[in-house]
Amino acid sequence: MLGAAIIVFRETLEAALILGIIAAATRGVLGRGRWLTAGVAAGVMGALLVAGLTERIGQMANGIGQEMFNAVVLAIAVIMLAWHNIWMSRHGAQMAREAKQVGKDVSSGTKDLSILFVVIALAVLREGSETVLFLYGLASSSNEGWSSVIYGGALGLAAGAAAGIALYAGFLSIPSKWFFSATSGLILLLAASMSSQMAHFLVQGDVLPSLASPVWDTSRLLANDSALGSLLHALMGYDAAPAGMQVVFYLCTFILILFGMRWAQRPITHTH
Amino acid sequence: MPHSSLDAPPPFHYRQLINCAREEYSFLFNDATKLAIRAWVGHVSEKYFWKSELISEYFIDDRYENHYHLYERNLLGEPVVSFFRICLLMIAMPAGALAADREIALTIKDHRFEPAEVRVPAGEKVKLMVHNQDATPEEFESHKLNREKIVPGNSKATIYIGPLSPGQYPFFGEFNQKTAQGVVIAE
Repeated sequence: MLGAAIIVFRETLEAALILGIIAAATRGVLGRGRWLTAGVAAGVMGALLVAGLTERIGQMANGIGQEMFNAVVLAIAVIMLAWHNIWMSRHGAQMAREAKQVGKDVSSGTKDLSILFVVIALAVLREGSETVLFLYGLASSSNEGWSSVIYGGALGLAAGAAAGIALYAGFLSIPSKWFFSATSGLILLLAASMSSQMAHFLVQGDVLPSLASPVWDTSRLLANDSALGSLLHALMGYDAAPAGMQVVFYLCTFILILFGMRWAQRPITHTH
Repeated sequence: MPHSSLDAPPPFHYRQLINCAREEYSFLFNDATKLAIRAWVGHVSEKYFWKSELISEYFIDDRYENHYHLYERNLLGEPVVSFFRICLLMIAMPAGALAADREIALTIKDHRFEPAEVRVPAGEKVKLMVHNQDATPEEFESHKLNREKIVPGNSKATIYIGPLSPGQYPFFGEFNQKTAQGVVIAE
């Protein structure tokens, strides 16, 4: 049971943290709860579907279907997060000014929420499908029954959710002066981290060269599966032994989005 | 003199683009690499990114006699094409290592890896063929190899690893970590 709990926790942690960051970033936007819930629900349904199709997906693209699928899902999420951050740096200040009149600009808030809906759904789908497969395997092997697996899974899920909620609560305690920079900063890191994971899958599928495997190895210092390591992995893409291509993707995404945010901000500062 | 629109554009092959690029940047490569690049880029691009017909569409234009020039000068512009070629060549660089893929079989049975010790040559890319003979899915995972891949029950999966520097690279089955343990030894 504990084994199930730990693995479910590890798988849900990433999705829960993404959800926490996004919930914080959309604080005060009308209809947020509905969109976020819908994102999770769509993600869970997608996860069940993907878990059921694992074998077929794996056989696609000459045996590297799983890698291509993950890479595409991550690419979509990166684009959505980039769009959100660039869009927010243009409209964020304006929205903060109008925050007192809640729901003033419902349409633009909804547009952004629908983008983040996709990000959440994809995050839950990716992590969820692995969880479903794992739990299914555990339950159908003889030594552990369904009830034990369900308890363990629920425990792990609760722990993952708690981590997400803790992150959200932590965000809410940030003074409003720094709030926007904090959320957009973390989303920037999240996008870069997803981009690095995308490179990881493309290297694994032999679509891209690794350039160097690994560039460095800090697994003695901070292992990927340690508590801090997996937290940093989920939040900012920490990898103890990354391929060179991952570092290239990480830095390029980070710089491009940052550049896009600066560029979007320019006209606003101009009119001051 | 306008070119007849009835003339079909010459069929464009990926190879031709690579040939152009090869000439321009030949100082970077020896003959063996060139051959490998040709095979690899053609293979990957046709399989995963686009089909060659897509590119030949760009050539359906009767204002120019030389369709290749149309592509280079008119559609994308010289700098873009140059950049594109350099990117392709950079991607194609490790093709030499790819040419001789070594295949190694690995079996999962009763939540254990067989063999538990996989010896691979250092400095070479290796193709691991993992065959899961259990009914339940397993996830092949290795932090040091930087790999994670789900292998559904009763099926096979391909995992590329390396080129590795000499050393030990432990791996495990995440879904049955107690029993499913193994190590890749590069030497």
